[in-house]
Amino acid sequence: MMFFWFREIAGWLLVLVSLYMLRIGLIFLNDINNPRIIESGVVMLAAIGVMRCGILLVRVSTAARMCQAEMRSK
Amino acid sequence: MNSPDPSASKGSSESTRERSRPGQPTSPMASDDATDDASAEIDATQLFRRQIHTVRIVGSLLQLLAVALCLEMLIGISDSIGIPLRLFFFAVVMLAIVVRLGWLTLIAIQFSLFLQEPGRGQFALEPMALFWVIVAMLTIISAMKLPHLHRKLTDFLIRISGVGETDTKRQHGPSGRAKHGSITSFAIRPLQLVLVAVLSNIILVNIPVGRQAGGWLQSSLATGQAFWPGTFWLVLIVSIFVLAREIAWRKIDRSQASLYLRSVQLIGYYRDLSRFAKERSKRLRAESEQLTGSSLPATLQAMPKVPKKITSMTRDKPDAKGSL
Repeated sequence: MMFFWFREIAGWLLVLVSLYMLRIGLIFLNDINNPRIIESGVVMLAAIGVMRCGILLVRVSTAARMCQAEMRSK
Repeated sequence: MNSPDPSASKGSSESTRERSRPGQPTSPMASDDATDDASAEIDATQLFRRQIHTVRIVGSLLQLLAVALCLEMLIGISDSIGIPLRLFFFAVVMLAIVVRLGWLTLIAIQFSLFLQEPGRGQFALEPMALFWVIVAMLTIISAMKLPHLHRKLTDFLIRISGVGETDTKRQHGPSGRAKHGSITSFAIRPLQLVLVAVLSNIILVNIPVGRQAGGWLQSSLATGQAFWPGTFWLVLIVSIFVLAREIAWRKIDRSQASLYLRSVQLIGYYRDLSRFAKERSKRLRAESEQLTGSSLPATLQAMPKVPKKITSMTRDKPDAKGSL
């Protein structure tokens, strides 16, 4: 049971990392004097990938916990 | 609530049973009595259904009246509108809620905004008024997505009126409660509503269209924010969106969780099996369309509504009720 909690925490950490990467990408765009559009696109794509992984981890661990709790109660 | 009154039907069936006990001889007169009892029972059932229907209509009208009055108070903030126009707007809102047309409601709200700001031609409202308008709009949208709230209020009115009390209790038994969601969902939803309203208010007040567009552009350039509404707000909105989606996703039950896990495993590790399952699902769907006219197989037609991800998975695996 504890393993799933670790997975969920790891998933949320990945989501936080992806949000930070998103912020970095936006900062790249916000720089008026030296806009780095290509770099921003790369960082954004990476952020989306990391976010998807994090959400997948969170969901799988949540679903697994639900199933395991149900099996134990039976 | 199409079932008859259990107490009434119970009483009449007991009386019928008393008259025709096993072992006792039955005469033609007794069979006539039984027929009369059956017809009386049908009449009582019809009367009961009619009463329920009447109370339901009255309850719906009362709810609509309350919602429309609230909308009128929230949206019709300005007193500059004449009474005929106000009544027209009132009727449009009521019609939109009766036939559950979201777009008509939004048009009505826009109509109200247009009347509140005659001759300006720009979106310029005070922040507090705008906040209330957004709350009203979100309330309508939320109410349209929550038909069970309407059902609960109607049941409450039926219970108050004293008609069909047992029937209402039966509908809200353990299975009904599990279907409608937990108390947590009722606590989260208003919070989400307020949060979305506050964020929408902030965004709409700072929108780069309107009277203060020039000022916004200057301040934005001065602070180096070329990307409206700024890095912080965009990241905050995305994070709130992700959080709300995950909270909503956690309302699945065990069978859906099991289905999700098997689907993730299938998609992640067994691509070939996933392809076979998709082909089988397509074949089942085609057969089902030929037989019943519905696009879903019979096993999926009885399933409750599930999130998009899980729905896409059920196409792969028609047998939804499996174990982990």
